[in-house]
Amino acid sequence: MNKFHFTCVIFCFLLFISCENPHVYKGSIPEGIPKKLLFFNGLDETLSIIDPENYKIYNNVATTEQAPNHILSRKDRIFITNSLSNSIQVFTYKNDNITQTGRIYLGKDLNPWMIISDGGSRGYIPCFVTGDIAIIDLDKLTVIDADPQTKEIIDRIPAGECPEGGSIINSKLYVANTAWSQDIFGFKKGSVTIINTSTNKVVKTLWIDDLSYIAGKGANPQSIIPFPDKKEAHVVCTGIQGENDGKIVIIDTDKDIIKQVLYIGGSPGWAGGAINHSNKTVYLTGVSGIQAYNYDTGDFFGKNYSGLGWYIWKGENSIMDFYSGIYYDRISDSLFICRFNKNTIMVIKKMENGKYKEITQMETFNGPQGNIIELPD
Amino acid sequence: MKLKNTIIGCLILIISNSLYGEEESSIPEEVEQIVITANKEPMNPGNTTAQVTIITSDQIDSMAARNAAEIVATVPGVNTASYGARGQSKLVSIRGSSADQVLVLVNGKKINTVQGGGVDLSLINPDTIERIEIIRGGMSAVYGDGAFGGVVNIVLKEGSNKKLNLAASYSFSYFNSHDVSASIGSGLGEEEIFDFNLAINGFYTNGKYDYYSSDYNEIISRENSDGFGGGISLDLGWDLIPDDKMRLELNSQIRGSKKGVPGMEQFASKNAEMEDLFTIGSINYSWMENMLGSIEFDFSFQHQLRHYSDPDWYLDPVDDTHKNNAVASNIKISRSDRFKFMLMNNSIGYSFRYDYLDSTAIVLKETEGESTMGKYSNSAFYRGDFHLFQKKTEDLYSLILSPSIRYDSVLTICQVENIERYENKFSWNAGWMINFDPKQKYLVKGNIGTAYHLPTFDDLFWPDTGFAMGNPDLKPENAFNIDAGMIIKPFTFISLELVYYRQLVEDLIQWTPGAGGIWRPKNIGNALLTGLETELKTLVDLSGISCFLEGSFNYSLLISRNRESGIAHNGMQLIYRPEHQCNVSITLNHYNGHSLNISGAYTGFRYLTEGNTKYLDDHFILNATLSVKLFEAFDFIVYGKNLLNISYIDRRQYPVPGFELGTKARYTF
Repeated sequence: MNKFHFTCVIFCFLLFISCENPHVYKGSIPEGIPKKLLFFNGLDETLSIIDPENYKIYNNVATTEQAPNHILSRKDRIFITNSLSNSIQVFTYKNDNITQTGRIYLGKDLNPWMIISDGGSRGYIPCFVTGDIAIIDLDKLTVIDADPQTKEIIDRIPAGECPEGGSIINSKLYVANTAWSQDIFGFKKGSVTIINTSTNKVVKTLWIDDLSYIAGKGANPQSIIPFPDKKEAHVVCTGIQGENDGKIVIIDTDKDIIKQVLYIGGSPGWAGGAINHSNKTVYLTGVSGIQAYNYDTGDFFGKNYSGLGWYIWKGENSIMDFYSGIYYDRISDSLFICRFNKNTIMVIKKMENGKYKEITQMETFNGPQGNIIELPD
Repeated sequence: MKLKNTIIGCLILIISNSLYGEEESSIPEEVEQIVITANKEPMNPGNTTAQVTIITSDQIDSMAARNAAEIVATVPGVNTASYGARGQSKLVSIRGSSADQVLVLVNGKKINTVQGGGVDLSLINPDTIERIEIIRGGMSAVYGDGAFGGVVNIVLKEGSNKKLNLAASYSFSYFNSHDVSASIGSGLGEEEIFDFNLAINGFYTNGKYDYYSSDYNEIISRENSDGFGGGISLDLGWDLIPDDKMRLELNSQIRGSKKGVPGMEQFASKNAEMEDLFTIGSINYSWMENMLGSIEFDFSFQHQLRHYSDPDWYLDPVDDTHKNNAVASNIKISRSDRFKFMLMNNSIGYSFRYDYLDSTAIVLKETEGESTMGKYSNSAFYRGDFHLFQKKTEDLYSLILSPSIRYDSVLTICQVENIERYENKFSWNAGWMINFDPKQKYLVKGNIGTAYHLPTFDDLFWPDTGFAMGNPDLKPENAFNIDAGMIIKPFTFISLELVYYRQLVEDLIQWTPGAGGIWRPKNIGNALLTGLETELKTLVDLSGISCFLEGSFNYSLLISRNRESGIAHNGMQLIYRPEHQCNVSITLNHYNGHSLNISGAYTGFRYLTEGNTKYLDDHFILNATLSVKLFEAFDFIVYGKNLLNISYIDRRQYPVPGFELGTKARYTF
């Protein structure tokens, strides 16, 4: 073999190895796990499963589209809202397998945030960029009032500016409008849009910020926790991330007026929050740590850190420590928490002295986020 | 161990033989300097320790490139990312670096801005380029801040050859795109002690094209990709002492463009516009062979303005202006000394640069127009080139050692945030080369050294916009580099280059989303980039058909691994870095000047997520160029880009066009 042939062989070899298939990190769900919790890895765009009994994680059991933001479980279906792809992915959970069985494309420029189910077949989707609410049929997997040719939505319900979370209470949809302003690099006056789901018409806009509003420092209402039995909607206002202006605004859903404001401090969020009904505790996620309050009495739990707010679990860094999802497990009486920037699921439990103790941290993929849901048996 | 002993033995033998060498008749008179200065002789890969690729204007002509990015993309180890059609951004990466980690020079002057974001190579017209020098590998000891992944030096055409030269070209291609350029240069005066070159160019494109949507279910029209722009440059030279012994040059250049910015596929911006204006003026003075040695001095001023507006941005209208200004000056004193066994070239120098940014986006609104964000850089450097030689039988064996050290002291001030940052960086590099043959048929060479990259102003000071926010606590990125390669020319018609490299990066800066989805940059930890660059070139005379065949094939392997400890994706491939890349080019040149070039570029899959859970498919793009010489000085060119009409993307949500056809007429005298 002369030099020329040798050189050609080397290059052919290099060409050959360049055609190999990429290795993709994909996992599967083993059989026999009695309880399974589902969450998503926002940056790696996958779904992962927690085995809460054995503190194990099964990563990347399915792939989402760009910027997954919310999970809705309905019958044997799982709906994932993808904010950047403007789409809803539909998965079917059967025999320990999560398989994509459908997709709803909502149309360009929307930035869908989450699906709010009315308990029936309708799903309401706040669209952050367009400031309105899209409606989909969760059974037929179609956009309601869509253009039959383009499939794009032609009729949506107008909400306020930059809507994010919402809830339906007694045939009324409450949507939190964060009112982010690019122009002032801050938040304008936050509001809640109230929509009658029978007519899909706006019945009222309730302003969260009052006369004390300072330009750019709006309340930033992000989520709404429904308490239909109490006829209340708790609006979780995050305020400015990393500052101590978080609050819970309680709306009387009979009169649709603000009933009470709980100044919990910090920067709370509830998109991935949890409730323990046995002691009436709402657990809030957010930067800096985990906050909690009693939804009956309005009392805060944990310690009031000077200038930072109330926390039951305090992180190290007020900006970079982001607790992005939480699940309360009744059986073990512990909290499963997504640590977005650490790429772990942390488990904490309340001790006899009233303080919380870390039980374990489980490694997951990039950007774990809640809401965390329990998969049906 | 055997190999190691052999290498050490060879080195000792060569050095000892050099010390006792008897003859010096074949000694090269001048050792080539690695330090790039404007418009000097091109670097020669066979006479410099750096891993360098030179692309000449003839090669550029044969590939009918539409911008500088298409030219550098053909080099092993280089990857470019296109954000869309003709006028949209094209950014370059070398050895797995980010665009910010590539130092881009035009005529030896740094054009990376202190604000960051990489240099957009789409705005540089290929017809104005004399040559491009691409140095692969970090080398802050020679170039300072930013030479982290490599250096791209674009040398523009000038009239310093003193002869009258005229050139003009016009090109028309798909998307109603028009390109025009013209230049004139000549020597002036009795002994042509003066010379000048004037060049002008312009382009227009409507940019509208169809593409398959990301789920490949429908064909969508990409709108708001139109643009126009142009530039003018004037260079004046004055030989104060003939034969370039003392020379004064004045260079000036203005170029600008206005284009639509179509935005992301799912969040299109139908009325967003971007205007760019780039101005640079410089004075270069050189006095060679004086009593000290040689003195080179230059002073330059540059102004880069970018105005972006989107009246229909979803949340609020956007209207921002960024003004990046820089004043820089360099002085270098070099001296060459010949000894019996060695030619020694030592250079010392001092550089000063002041970067200044005034931006309506990066400052708080209440201080708009009063922002002062500046960076003062003072640098001192030393570079040596020691050329040891021996004459044995009829072959010249030589060893070149090129040590470099550099000290940079940088003060960054942001008055709005009341921040002052001091950074003192010491960089070093040791290059070596053993040339086994006077015709440079067999040589091995390599480098070992450090590189660093300071955080950009966007990284440090970007205000909280609700989606992104800077981080003033960022540390500089640091790297330790090592590479070794060889160039072999076993036959007159074949040249083979093979390079292995390894770069260990610490404190890599990466923007990641944090609280509330706000993106912030942070030093993520360590990364390891290692790879192989190979290139095979051939030139065969086919006298039977009055042609010669020019061919090249290169393959690049890049293994880029996240080495951040304690995370699930430790050991996984970094995003957007293709593991495999190949370029192939075959040109059939007729003796009369006609030519046919067929080229292809294969880009391997690229992971999209840090967990390597998703990837972009690989693709192969085929291009062809037919050039017909109608008259002595007139060429007519027809070219096709992406002949197979492959749908692909370099960045998510930024589709690029498929098949394009174009024609070009060129007159050169």
